[in-house]
Amino acid sequence: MTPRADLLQGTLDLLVLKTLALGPLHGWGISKRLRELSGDAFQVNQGSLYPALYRLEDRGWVAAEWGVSPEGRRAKFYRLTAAGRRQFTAERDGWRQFAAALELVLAAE
Amino acid sequence: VRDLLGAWTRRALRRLRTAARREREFDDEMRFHLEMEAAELARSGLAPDAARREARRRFGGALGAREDVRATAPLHRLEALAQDLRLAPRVLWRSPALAASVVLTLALGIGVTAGVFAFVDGLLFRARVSYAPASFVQLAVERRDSLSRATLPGAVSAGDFRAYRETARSLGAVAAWSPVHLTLGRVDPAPTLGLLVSCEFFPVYSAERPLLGRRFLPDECETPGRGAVAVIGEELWRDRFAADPAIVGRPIVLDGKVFTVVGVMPANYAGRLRGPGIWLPYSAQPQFFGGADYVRDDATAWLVVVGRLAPGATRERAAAELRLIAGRLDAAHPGRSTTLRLTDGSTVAEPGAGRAAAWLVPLTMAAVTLPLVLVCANVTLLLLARAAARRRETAVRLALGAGVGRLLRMMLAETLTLAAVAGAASLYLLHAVPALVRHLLFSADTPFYDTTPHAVALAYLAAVTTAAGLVSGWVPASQSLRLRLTDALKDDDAARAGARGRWGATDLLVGVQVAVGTVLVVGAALFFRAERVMASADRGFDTRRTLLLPLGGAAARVADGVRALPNVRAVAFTSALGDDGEAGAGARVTGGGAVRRAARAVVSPEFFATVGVPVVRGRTFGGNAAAPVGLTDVVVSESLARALWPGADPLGRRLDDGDGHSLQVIGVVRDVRPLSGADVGGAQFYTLRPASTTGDLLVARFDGDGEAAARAVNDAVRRLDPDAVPAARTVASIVATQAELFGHFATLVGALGALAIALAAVGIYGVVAFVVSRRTKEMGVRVALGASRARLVGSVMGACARPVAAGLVAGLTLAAGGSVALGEGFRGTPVRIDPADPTSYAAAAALVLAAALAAMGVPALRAAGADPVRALRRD
Repeated sequence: MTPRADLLQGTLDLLVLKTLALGPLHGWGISKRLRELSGDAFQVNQGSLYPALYRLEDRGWVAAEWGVSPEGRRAKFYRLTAAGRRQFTAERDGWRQFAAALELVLAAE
Repeated sequence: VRDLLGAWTRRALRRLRTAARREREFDDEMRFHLEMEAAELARSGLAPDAARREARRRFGGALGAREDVRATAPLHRLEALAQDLRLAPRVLWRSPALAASVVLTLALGIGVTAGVFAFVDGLLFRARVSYAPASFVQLAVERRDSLSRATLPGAVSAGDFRAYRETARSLGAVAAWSPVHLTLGRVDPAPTLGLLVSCEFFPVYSAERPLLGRRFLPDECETPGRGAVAVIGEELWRDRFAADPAIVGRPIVLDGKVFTVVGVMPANYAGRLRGPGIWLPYSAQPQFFGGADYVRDDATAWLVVVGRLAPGATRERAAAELRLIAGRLDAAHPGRSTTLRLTDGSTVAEPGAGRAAAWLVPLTMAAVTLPLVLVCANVTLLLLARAAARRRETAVRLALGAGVGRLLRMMLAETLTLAAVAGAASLYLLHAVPALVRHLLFSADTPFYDTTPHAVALAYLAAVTTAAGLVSGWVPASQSLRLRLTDALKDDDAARAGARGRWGATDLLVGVQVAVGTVLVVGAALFFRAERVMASADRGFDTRRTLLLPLGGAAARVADGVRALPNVRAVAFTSALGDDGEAGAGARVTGGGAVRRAARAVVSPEFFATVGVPVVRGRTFGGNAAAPVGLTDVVVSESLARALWPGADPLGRRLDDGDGHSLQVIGVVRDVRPLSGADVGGAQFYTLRPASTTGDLLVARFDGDGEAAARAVNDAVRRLDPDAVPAARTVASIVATQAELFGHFATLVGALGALAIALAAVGIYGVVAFVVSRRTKEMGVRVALGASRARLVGSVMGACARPVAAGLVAGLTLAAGGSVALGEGFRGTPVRIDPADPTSYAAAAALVLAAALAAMGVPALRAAGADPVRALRRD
């Protein structure tokens, strides 16, 4: 049984932004890469993934267009916009601060 | 702000476009995702079929995902709303009777509320002009210095008016007016209201053309001495000049001065005046107000200034400019200071309006909103019954996973649809109610108010409609959603027991409505009877053969002229007819040791023979040459004689008339019913009219048609005095007019009563239907066990019997108390209300009971007629 971690509220957006920061991907690709990068810890339910993608698109951080997948299939690709990249940086720095602080507290004797 | 709004709109539109595109592409995207997942699983060794199944499982239910995805889209809400709105009419169509009664009830409530709103709005908040109220302005000026005085609040002097008119660039037209009371001709029963105006007055207030002739010329308005001209209203033209087609150019006498009529304005003209009014150029002012010349004398503020904004000018700019002009005027008059306000010309903004309007408005609106609250409460009761009947449907929807919010929206969409239909239907009432109220409560001389519905009234209607839909839908909807799922699906008795305790409020609601309806119906019945009594009562003489003509002077000459007419049989004079005229409560008469209020009339010797009042004992004035006529003689009515000297012969007795004169009784006559004024129970006494008296009522007895006789008398008076505007009428037609006005009032009360009863019936129907829907299963069991249908109907109807009975008793008691007070209140008028009239109470009680029984009977009979097998199979 693979260890599963429940996604912390609000972190899915950051994770999606991060995967897209590495390059444009379609929806399935995002979920697959998330699974791989987390060592199978994060299994993103499609019912959460697509709403999150649409939410990011509505905020203008992600743009969607149809393209052709490496397997030669028509697929909808998502890429980070300039605003999305700024948002990603901001969110990542915020998360790191938070995680570091949390770690300090937990490490206290 | 506009940029912000633009940006917001653009963003909203972009989001809608993205969402629409996403909706189209969603299926493709999901299919791609599933296939990729399946391919991946197949690569890891699963059979293709198993891989697809697993992919779908992992996807987490495509349907659910789809809903989740769509829930993020703004379009989704609109779409769901559209779906709810499409569904609502279909659901409602399944129970057309319910939908119809809800719509009808709401339409009445909304329509009456919005209609009265439109009326009050027109009366108080809209400029009293017939076109373009937005550009109308009225000046409220307060001038403080030691010398000047104001005859009207907010008025200015003639000099100031001309200064404003000549200098203000932001005003296109500036006019002024001032009211004046005028005596028309020599035979004027009451002063006529006139208006001294500047020439611009007519175009500023209304675009209407004169019916006949023209309005004033600039020369007539501005040059003192040239203004001996008058424009009259159509009402006055018809009432007092018999619609004379040759009126233009004819001279009329106003306060003893001759004016030439130059025009007639159409009926209900918007020019500030009551219907039968007269407009004069303001340069004619020195002829009135006791001869003071306010046109030249600048110390008196007597003109109200109004105007229209110039094209492109704003109220703010106009106010600023006018204040500047006022400042310059102050500078030219040392010691003077002026404050100036620019109003929109509505009644509440008028300088003299005071604070009365401020509390009048909330009071009126509260009185109007109360019926709407009752309406909403009744519709709520109706819908509660239905919500109860739909419990299982709702429970199934909830069990299948429909969101509570979505279901609530769906149910509210239904009531909102009903309210919208009702709102559309009540548009008719929005038009009709102001017209009806005008018709019933306004007389011909009520001044112009614009009460036609406009944007504000329509907005109010829309707001009231939405509020009514939400309010009456909320309770039933939330009620049906709060239920426990298992209970509802089992339809068991525990759920019912929980709900029953709450219904104390509905009992009260039904009871109060029945009581209010009963009071109003009893009131209307009493009023209608009073009207019939008034119109048909025996007044002690033949009203159709008796003419009355109020006279100013020249009485003897007029009497001779009238007496010479072919159909006239006799002519007499009196100060009043059966009452005290203006004096009110009557004189305190002392005689035979008793004190009694009695109406006094001062009459000419021919009075009794002319009117046809029978002499019971003794004689009247001048009837016997042997007995010389004396001013200390008195004739008393039978009632007064009985009151003062019960059982004794009154002839030769003395009585004191309350003014210290001792009078001797020479005769007794039959009682006469008073025409107007205080009812003193038929106690009347008559003294002789000295020959020198002027200003009286001329009474004429004639043969033939009353209308023709009145016309003939008026013509005869006009032949004698070309300036006279006589107003002869038969007593019967005067009484009919009074009765008609009172009949309008009775109609209004009756309509309100009918409305209240109809509302109460809706409420009762709702309560009984609710009980029936809750007890379907129990009734089925009882029918199956052999209970008679009559018993079942009885047991269901019992649900409302108590509040209805209590309401009826309370209503009748209140009505009895109220009508006694009402009878007292009408004591000073020709109306006689009999608070103990049993027919009125019986009729009202029967009507209310019939309505209540019908409302209870329909659902009860339906329930009792239900098939027991079907009722029991519901589980």
